[in-house]
Amino acid sequence: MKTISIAKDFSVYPGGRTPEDGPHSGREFREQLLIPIFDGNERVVINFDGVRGYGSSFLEEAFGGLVRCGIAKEKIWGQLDFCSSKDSIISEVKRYINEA
Amino acid sequence: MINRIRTRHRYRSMFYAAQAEKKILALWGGPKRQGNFLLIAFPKEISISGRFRGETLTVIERIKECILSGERKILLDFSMTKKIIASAMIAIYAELNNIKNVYPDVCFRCRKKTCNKIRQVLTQIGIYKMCGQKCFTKKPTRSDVVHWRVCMGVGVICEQIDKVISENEISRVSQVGDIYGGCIEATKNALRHAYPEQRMGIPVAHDVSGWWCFSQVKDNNLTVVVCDLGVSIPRTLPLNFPDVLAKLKSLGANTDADIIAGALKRPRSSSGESYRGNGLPKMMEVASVGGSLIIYSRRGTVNVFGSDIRAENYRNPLRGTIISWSLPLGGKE
Repeated sequence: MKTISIAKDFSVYPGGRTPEDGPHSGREFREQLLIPIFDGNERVVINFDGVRGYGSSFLEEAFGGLVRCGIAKEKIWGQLDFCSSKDSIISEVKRYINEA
Repeated sequence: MINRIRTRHRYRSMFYAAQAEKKILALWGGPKRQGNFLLIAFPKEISISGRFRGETLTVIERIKECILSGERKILLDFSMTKKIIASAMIAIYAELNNIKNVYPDVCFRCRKKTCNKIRQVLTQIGIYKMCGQKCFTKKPTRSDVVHWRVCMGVGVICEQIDKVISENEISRVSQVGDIYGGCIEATKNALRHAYPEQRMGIPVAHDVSGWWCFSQVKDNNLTVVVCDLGVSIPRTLPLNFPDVLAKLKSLGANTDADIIAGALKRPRSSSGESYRGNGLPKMMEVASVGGSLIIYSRRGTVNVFGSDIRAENYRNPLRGTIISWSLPLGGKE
């Protein structure tokens, strides 16, 4: 199974919601690394460890934004797995997807 | 009826606050000069909570008034100061830095006479450097001073966090990610919400620096403070989330502290962008893992420890927002 590490494949310093907030935004992460996953049917693990931390706007825009981009929640649950040493990050991401 | 009484009480509080400010200014007498410089003295304790809040904020306002009245040479006098609280010092630092950004011809100087500890703090955070007094900058040695660090910027903090939180601290605080997340939200709010309009008096050059950040390690606690000079949370909340404010008001939140405390609890927004507005609740995560969060904005102060939220209002308004996180450090230095 393919793994995307946010720290290694994107940035150790995740930023805000959009590029206007500054570098390494949630929208950039979504467009560069998440959206291409749904072009295929492969299951991908998103690893949240190794970064300085996350703002809620980064996580909401990256994952909640997938639903607003038109990707069905069932497809997201079917193709994404989450891995983090902090359970609270995974539950936060799941909440953003559910509430989007 | 109750609302009318509350409004009357609020206006009365504002009136007394203005009177108290005038009284403090009167106690100081007229402006004192030393050579070409106008002398402005800081209080015994630089703090924005408790009994020294009024004096500290009045000094800041006095500096701004002097600049607006055309004064360009200000002598900062810390000779009486014996204690500096980081959350108050960042307000002073931010205002001085902003004045230098807006009026490059302004010349600040510090009086040489200060106690050793205060001189070390002023050196460490770069006040003497800002004043062009490198002759005072003997390297700080005190353990409670050498860990003060400062950075400033525009947009989210990202890589700049390394200027205020060292690798050593990251390894000693398992929940340091929550502070980073809080800093991201605070600096993003400074960019997006804090400056919807220019404030009265001295404008803020928020395209040069929109936020300022301090960190301090003291008594085995890491404190990180982010400050903006915007129009404050109680003013921006109605602009960005009018329905949230209406909901809070219907629940009886009328004071600045009530509004901040209510916004922390994240009442659901019914606007088209209901996915927004997670920033303030995110800042509380530090408090839920054994740390604390304090938000100062305009007249309100909200302390969060665990699930306990304490709201307090002061007479003197802070012109901006200061958010302070504190976490105990584990492991060895």
